[in-house]
Amino acid sequence: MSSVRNANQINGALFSKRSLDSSELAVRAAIGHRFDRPGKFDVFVERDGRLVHREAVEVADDGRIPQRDVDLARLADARSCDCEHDGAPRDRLVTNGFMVFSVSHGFGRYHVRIERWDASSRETVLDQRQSLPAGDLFIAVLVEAGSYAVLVDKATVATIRVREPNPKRPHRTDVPLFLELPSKPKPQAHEIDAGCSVVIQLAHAARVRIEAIERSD
Amino acid sequence: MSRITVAVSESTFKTAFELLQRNFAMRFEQTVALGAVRAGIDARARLENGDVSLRQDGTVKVGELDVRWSRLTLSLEIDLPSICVGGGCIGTRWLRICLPRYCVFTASTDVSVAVDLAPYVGQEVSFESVFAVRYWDPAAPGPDGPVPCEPVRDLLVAGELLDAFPTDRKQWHVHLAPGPVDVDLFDFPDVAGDLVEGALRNAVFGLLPEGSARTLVLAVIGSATDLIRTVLDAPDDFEEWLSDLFNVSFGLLDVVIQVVAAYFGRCVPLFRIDDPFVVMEAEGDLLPVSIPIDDVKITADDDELVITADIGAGS
Repeated sequence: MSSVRNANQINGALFSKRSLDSSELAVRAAIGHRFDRPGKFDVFVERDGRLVHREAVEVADDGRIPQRDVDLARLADARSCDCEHDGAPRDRLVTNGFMVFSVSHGFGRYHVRIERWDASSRETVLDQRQSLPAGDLFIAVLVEAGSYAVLVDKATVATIRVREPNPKRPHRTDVPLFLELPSKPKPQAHEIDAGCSVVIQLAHAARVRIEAIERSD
Repeated sequence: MSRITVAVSESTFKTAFELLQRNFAMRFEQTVALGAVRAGIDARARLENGDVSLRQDGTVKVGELDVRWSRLTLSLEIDLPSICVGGGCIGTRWLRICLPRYCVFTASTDVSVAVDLAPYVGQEVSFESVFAVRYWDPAAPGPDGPVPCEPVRDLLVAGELLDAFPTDRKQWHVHLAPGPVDVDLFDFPDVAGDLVEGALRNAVFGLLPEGSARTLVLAVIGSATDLIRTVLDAPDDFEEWLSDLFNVSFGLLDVVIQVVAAYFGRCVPLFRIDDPFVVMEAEGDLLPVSIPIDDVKITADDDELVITADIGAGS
C-alpha cells in the first residue's frame, strides 16, 4: 500500500490563464520604470486598492545603483505597511536606472505610483493604472504554448507564437524577446519558447496588454 | 547445602525456544535528513521459522530465522528545487536590465509520500549462542545494553506474550547469549524501487496542473524521474539507493542485530526460576515451604540441557 500527500505548495498563480496587462501587476506581469531625471521620488504600492508599501528613492547622475528589484508579493506578505517615511531614501539610483516591480507569488493585483517631488511641488511620473511612460518596460512571461496578441492601447502591434517545449532538447527560459516599439509600429510576428519573457518598451506613454488568441491545449 | 539437577531434553528445549522466538516483536521508528530529503521509517517485525539445535560443545546454533515485516513504511518528504521560468537579461538603450524569474515550488516541503515496503523484503537471521545465567533482582534490575529491555518486555507484556517480571521476588534467568548475529542485507527488488519512484512521480505530477504548463515544467526539469533522482541523489539503480537507505542511513540492519541480541541475551529469558523456590504453597494455618536457590549452572550437549543449582535449608 502506498499513500501520497501533497503539501500543495505550488505557485499556482504561475499557471493562471488570465491576460497580462501593464495596468496591474500580477505574477508573470512586471514593469520596469526608468528614472530619466535626477531627483527625489516617492514610490507607492497598492494591493487591491490598499496601500501596502511606500518608500523614498533618490536618483542622481552619480548614483551607483543601475537596477533595483522590488518583489511586491514579499512586501505585501510583511502585513504591516511601513507607509510613513521621513523622506530619507533607501537607495540612490543612477539617472536612467530602473526599478523593476514584479510579483513572485500569490493572486494579488498590485498598482505602482511614483511621484517626483521637491520643496515646492509634486509630479506623478508613473501611474500604472493609466499608462506606462515612454521608455518604461512591460515584462511578461508566457507559460502556455499558443498564439498571443500584443496590444498597445487597443491596437494589435505584434503577435507572438509560444512554442511547446521539445522534450528531446534542454529547455531554457532565460532567453527573452525584447520589442522596442516605435510610435507607430507595423504589426510583427515573433516566436519564443514557453516560459520565456517578452519585454516591451514603448516610444510613447501607453497601456500594454497581452492576450491569448489561441492556446495549443 | 544440597544440589539439584534438572535435565531438559533437546525437544523440550526447542519447544521453549520456539515459544521465545514466536514472542519476538520489534518496533522501530526513525527519521533522517538527507539533504533536501527527509526520510522516515516505521517498522514492525517478528521472527518465524528457523532451526535451532544443541551442539556437543554446549553451544546452540540458531539458523535461518525469518524476519517477517508486518510493517515497513517508508516516508519521504522532498524539498523540491525552485524550478523557475522567465529570467535572462536585455540590453536597453541605457542599461542592461535583468528580468524577474518566477518559481514553481515555494514551500520548504513540497511533496511527501509514504509507501509500505513490507511485502517486498525479508531477511534471515542466524547466530551461535552460549547459555547465560542472570540473577533478576527487582530492586536492582541490572545495567542495560544499547537496546533497553523495558520497551521490549512492555511490548510483549501488553500483547500477553510474556508474564511481567515479578516485583516481589527474585529469579534466576536462563538466557541464550548470542555471539555475532548474522542478518541478510536489505536488498529490495525492482518492484519496490518502482513503487517508491512511482509514488514520488505521481506526487510531483499531482502538484502540476495538466496541460502545457505541466509540459513546460517537466521540460525545464528534464522529467519527473530526473527531478526525483537529482533531489534524492539516487543512481539509475533506484533499488540500490533504497537498499542503502535501509542498510546505512536508517541502520536498520544494525537495529535488527542489536534487538535480536538483546532480546535473547538480556531481555527475555528462556527459563525463569524463582528464588526462593516455593515447594509447598501455604495451606490453612501452614506457612508455605520454600527453598533458596543458588549457584545456578548450565551445561549442555547435543542431547540435552542440564541445569544444576545449590538448594539451601527449607524456610
